[in-house]
Amino acid sequence: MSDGSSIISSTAEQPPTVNPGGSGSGNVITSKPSFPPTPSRTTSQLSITSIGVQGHLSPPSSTTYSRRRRSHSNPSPSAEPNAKTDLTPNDITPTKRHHNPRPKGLLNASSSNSSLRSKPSVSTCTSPSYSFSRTNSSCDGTETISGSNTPNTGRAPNPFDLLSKGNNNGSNGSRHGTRSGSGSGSGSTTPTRKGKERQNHEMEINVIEVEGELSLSTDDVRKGLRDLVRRNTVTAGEAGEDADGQDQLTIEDMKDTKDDPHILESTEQNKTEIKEYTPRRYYVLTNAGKPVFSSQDKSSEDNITNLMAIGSTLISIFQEDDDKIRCIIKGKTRIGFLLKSPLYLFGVSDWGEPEHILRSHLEYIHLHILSVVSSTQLSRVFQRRSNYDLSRLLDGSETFLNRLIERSQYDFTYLTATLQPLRMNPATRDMAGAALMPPSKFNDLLYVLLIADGHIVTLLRPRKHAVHPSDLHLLLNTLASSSTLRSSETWLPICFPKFNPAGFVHAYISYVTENVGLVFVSADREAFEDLRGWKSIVLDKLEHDKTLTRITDAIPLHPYTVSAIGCPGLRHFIYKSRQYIQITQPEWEAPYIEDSVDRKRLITLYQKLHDAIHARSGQSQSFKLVYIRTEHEACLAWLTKPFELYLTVSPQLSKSAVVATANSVAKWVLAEEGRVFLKDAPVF
Amino acid sequence: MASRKKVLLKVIILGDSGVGKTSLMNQYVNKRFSNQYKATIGADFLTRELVVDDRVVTMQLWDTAGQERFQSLGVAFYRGADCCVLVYDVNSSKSFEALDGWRDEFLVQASPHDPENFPFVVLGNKIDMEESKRMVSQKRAMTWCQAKGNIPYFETSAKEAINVEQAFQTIAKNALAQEAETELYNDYPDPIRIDSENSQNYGCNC
Repeated sequence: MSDGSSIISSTAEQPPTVNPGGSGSGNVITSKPSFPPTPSRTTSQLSITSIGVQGHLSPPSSTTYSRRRRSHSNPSPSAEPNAKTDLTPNDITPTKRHHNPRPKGLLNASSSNSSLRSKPSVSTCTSPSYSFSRTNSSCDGTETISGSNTPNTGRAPNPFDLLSKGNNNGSNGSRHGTRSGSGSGSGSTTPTRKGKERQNHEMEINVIEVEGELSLSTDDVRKGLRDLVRRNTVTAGEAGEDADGQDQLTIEDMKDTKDDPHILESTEQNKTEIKEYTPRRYYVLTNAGKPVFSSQDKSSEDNITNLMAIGSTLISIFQEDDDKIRCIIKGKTRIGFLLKSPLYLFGVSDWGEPEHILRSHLEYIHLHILSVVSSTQLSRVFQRRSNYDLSRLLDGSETFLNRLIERSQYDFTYLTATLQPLRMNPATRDMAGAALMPPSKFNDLLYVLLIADGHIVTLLRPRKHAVHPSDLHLLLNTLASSSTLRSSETWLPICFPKFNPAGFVHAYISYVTENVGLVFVSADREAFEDLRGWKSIVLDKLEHDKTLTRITDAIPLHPYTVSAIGCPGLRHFIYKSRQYIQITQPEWEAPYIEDSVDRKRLITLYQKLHDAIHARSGQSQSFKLVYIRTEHEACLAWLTKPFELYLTVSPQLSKSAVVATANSVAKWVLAEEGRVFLKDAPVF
Repeated sequence: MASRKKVLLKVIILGDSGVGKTSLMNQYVNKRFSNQYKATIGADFLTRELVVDDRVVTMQLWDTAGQERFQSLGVAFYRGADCCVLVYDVNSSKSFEALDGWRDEFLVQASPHDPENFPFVVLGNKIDMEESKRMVSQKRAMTWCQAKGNIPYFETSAKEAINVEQAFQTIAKNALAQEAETELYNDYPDPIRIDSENSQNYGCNC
């Protein structure tokens, strides 16, 4: 927390887009005072400051932040200075730096980029008081931090200049020449990018979260993989057995990465390892600054109330300039914002996850609130009364929200917006599906679900409607959080924001055994009795042919251990079928037990892998293959057309063994597909 | 957060620079007064809990900077206020005459749904100073308040804690009266039609 470097990134448009040539806007903040404030008294105080003359009210230890527009590169916080040490080069030297898919430029203040913003300064009041400031546009020598888009020619000395130079001269200075040199020879740089690339050479070298060898290859990595398979490798023997032979990974893919920009290799440095993962804190407020909900903040209620006001004021400072604050980074702490007027949300984390992770948690919180009140109702009530106190309405939702927050952090089905169905015999699944086929008279039915132990057994839907996994997560979370819902027949109005944020559908919920529940979702508010009658028929069918018993028997067999795959050194994996939008994963095993630092570290690693192969932080390019090794474990992410695979192995495993393991897992899942996935979701 | 049955009121304090907005707030919340003048830059937030008519109320006080050059917080800052407190210094005619401007500014920026009945409270501060220095008579102030729709008026001293508690009690009471429950579910939501939706494939990657 004391390195004094931090970043605020903000764009008028969010989320970040993968747009190498596009222009983004970003803000860099260096700040000293801790935010959110540490509780010290029942009454804390914040000052939002706005001072005319730069430095005027700045004590040496004050918060200083600067902001500028960047012509290239995304304001992704993954380029923050401290994140740079998160991942470092493995045994390979970076050569084609211009292909570094990492966002560049958060430290590019030292370049010729003339769009630097002035430095506003801030005065901190006595503790527990927190200050922010910005300069007024009317003042001499400084520019408003966000009002204008014109470059500040007579720019004031910026703290980031120093930061950037230091960085340049330090760890990365020696590589400078190589990168600039090879940069101009790039064949893949698009014309629009070229100018900026050139201009940005200097800055590019400064910001690298993941360093590794990145080189060019032919168009598609899979093509390359197939070639390599054909050339026969360690795993060549298995190639023939592979379903279509195209998703075979070979050691050559790992060894010979010089010519492939899609493959990334890196080692996490031990010194940046997080020893303790403080629970993330989440806050929801109205756009008037009134508290709605907070999670994990153990400080006084007054302090939380003040914090919400601070949050809303920070947001409004940027909003005045038609800008959106996305993130504040201070040392290891990251504060992510999600603006969904009339609600604002922000979260605080020091886990070192990619930026979009924190925002995805906030998204789920927001979706849950919508599932309770619906988007239409929410805007209507705030149109009528902007001072509406939503917290009272959501009173009693804490249980649901807290569980949702827990799941969104640890459950990969949330991050990937997928489902993990019950692992079971496909024939039984089909029989359940047949029993649940609704009679045609129910024309307002949306979904028909059979749930066992929180997992989907089968799911029926109208032919023309999609299933939105995040809607189902809201429903499943609601069911899991309330034993009342599971103990009696219930008629639950719920809004599925992804399906239709405007209104409510109604869910008929009936648990036919302790663990097995039927859920019929209908748009007809009056359908309770009809659906209840139909449930008896369905239940008869399920009982009659023993389907129910078989489902109940399958529940304890759902979890499987990683030893089922039979690969020594393999510790865990997550396999996402891109076709079915579903995942399968074995049980967590030691040391990745619940609430352990190891589990949290691994989840964060998976999130980084996910981020890298999907370029979710606005990287200009995504990877097909990412390998990260820490002293604790080695992780591999592998993206192919039919699946995404994330796996964890012992760090001692050789790369060829990792490759063999990845192939074995893919092969195993392929063979198990019928059991682990819901392959043919019936339609009506 | 424990049970949140209590009401949260957002109260905005406006007035010229140096009239004692921050001092009043500090006296009310922290029971403290300092003779030293330190300009508020931007805004301060303080919270205090109180009981009004058997209801527990949390007052979220938004103290603003009086100096014009700091007034860039705008709409977002005033949005959703439950009460606006206008403060002037009884020893300064100028600060009293500025009340009109502050009130208008608030109504324009906050645009409350019922501006005629929006709860304001006027505080004439610094009555502890010697009488000879007084520039605005109580009568003049009350006439203005009446003309503006019977705004409650208090003469206060942040320094000697005169009328501060009473003033804020009234502020909370008037704000609470306005903060009547809005029934969220009173009207039936528009029914959703399943068959009118756009067709999509299974598993949109939402």
